Amino acid sequence: MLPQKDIDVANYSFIFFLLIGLGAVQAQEIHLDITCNGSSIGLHRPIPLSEGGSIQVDKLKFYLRDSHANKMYLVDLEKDTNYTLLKVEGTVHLELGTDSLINVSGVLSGPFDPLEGMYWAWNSGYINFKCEGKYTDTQAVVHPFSYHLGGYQDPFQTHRSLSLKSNAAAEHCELALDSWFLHMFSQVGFNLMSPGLAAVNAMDVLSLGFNLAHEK
Amino acid sequence: MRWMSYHLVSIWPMKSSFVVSLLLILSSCAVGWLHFHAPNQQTYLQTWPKPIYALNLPADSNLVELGRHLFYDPILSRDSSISCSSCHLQYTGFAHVDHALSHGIDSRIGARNAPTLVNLAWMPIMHWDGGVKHIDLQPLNPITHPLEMDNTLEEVLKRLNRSKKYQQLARNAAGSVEIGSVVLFKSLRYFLLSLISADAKYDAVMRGLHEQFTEQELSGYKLFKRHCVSCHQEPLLTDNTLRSNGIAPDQTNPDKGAYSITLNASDLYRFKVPTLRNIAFTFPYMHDGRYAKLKDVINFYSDSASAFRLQYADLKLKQPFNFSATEKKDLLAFLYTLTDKTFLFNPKFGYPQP
Repeated sequence: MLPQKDIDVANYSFIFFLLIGLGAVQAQEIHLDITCNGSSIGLHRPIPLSEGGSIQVDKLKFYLRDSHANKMYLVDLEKDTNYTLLKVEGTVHLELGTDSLINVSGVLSGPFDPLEGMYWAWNSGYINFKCEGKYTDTQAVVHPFSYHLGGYQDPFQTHRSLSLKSNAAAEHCELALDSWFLHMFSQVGFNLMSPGLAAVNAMDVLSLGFNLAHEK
Repeated sequence: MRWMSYHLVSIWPMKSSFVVSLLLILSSCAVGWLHFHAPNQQTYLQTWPKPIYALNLPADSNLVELGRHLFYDPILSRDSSISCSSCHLQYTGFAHVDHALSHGIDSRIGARNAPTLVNLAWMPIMHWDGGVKHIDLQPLNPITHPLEMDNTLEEVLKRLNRSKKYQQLARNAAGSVEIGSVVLFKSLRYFLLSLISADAKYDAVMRGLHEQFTEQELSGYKLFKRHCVSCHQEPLLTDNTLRSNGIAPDQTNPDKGAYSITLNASDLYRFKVPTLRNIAFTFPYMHDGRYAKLKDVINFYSDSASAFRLQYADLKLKQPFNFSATEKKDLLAFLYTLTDKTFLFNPKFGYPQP
């Protein structure tokens, strides 16, 4: 038998989606667009940076939960570039990364299967955001980079709740990585693969890259 | 399968599923693990703290069997040369006897001594630095670590799914011939949880059976209660916390312990308190295996004063205990009462029949 809390959640969800169906709640599906310097990021191709130089992303995976849709994605540009989020009454609620409960729940399947390469064995917990590639600086020097952002225990927890609001008819949810790359290259270096203050700061900067935007 | 309830393929509604599943797991855990042991031992185990993890035997016995086969099979290592049991030998309390630092394939030397595997159902954190918080995914460490098995999860699953033996074992255990991450780690988990040691002379005395401590053992037990029990709490003989005992880092193998996980300065040189069960068999001692003999350990706590110990050791350990020679022997005599030969030589925990 389900505990009362879960019955409540199920009932509320049912009512919520019923209201959407009846048109009493304004809901809209919008696409997630991951960009850098105004270009959608595709894997294995160089993207020029506004400051000069270029980046090439070879792997981009991260956990993103759409609270309105009650759906967890493992965004993985290798597998799919088309992710849809639910905007309700002008608002998108997202959770970037995994919460602490998931991190201590033992072996899980689906997006949390350790086969996905998003689990740190030596320091229990999931990598919430993984980005690997190459940065070519203005002197044409190539710097391979690997960023694995994670950590679920205070004071270094990297799970972020985001609430994006737009009164206008936003056409997509953008994750702009320009500032994040700049932060990583200038403040962190080219490798970050463990929890800590640098990961916390990197996740904060990353969170600021989410916005609701019009199609250009 | 019982754990299917918390497979998160659909994630709907995700958080509530977790709560429900965890409640189900915890409630099912409460009693099942006792069934693996003799009736008088069941009663004794009921006086122990409530386990964190549990078995639901005999329902899970096929999972235990699958886990046992995996534990003893070098198929997990990249070159199929070593198994879990290479560093965790039953006859030595599932510790890595006679190696200060455990080694993996190609004689690659690690940084720590492989700890004993016993009474894991009560263990909230694993590894000497406490970095692993759940037993399920602990085996992913040795399987993938370049200094241990140096394999990949993908390769392990590919090998297992090609094996008719494992397909049959998986069918028995999980109702499906396909072995994925969940079946692999759950079965290892269940075998590991079955490794319960609670039948040493110490336990017989505590259970009020016919056994009694000798005068020397009793004297040692009193010393233990005075100096050791705050960390090595009964009946598990560990409090499963991270502490510094004041042992200075080895110059050639500096190890900052739990600090490397938490990055908290107060965790510098803290390591998980090991259980003392079967301690006479689990040599060498300390996280880096620096002491080959139990008397060396006692000598450290008794006689070894240092500025490092004064600065970093837990409050009760900052000063040497200054045991007399007789007291050292008495304490040693007590520690020998922690040997559980029923556990060490239990065929249920040994190499599986082909």
